[in-house]
Amino acid sequence: MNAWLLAIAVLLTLAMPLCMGATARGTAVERLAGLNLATTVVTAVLLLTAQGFGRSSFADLGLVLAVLGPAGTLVFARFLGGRSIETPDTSTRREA
Amino acid sequence: MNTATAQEYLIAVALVLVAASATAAALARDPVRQAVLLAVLGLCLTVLFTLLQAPDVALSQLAVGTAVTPLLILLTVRKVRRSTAARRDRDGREGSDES
Repeated sequence: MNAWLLAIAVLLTLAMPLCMGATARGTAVERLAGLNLATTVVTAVLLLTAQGFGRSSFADLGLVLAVLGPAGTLVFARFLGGRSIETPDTSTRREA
Repeated sequence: MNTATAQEYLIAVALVLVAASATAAALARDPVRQAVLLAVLGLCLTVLFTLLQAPDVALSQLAVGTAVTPLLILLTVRKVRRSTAARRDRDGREGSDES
């Protein structure tokens, strides 16, 4: 067992449950922070896997996730922001 | 602890993470929160596939589960909510006209 696999084990057992706890409670916007942190942790895990197993082709996964993760977070933030802007608009229309 | 034991431990941890996130996604009631949990489930599945030495499956799971599926769910939720709100507004206006 080399140090890379030990680092993967520490990240998977200690960091990922915390990220999942952050995404499992709170409002939808608060869950987004947990999702972003989980994306970062999984990127590190994938890069460590490429080093630990000695297969450099695994590093492509980490690079793809590093591109897709912030894009996914931006998509979520776009739709959640549109919803929270929409909500007071409909309530005022209903009051009027 | 040799490498094979460490690999089996990592696979077991990834399986537990997948089970926990799938249960959380199934128990969430709000579709928007469910979409966020579904993205986390996709990440856990990516880790599991990578540890099982299947990087191509993990790559497609990454592309579909992280970006495309939550985007489709959020688009659908938005469309459904908007049409429901418009119908409720129209019904409320007709009701106020009748009264």
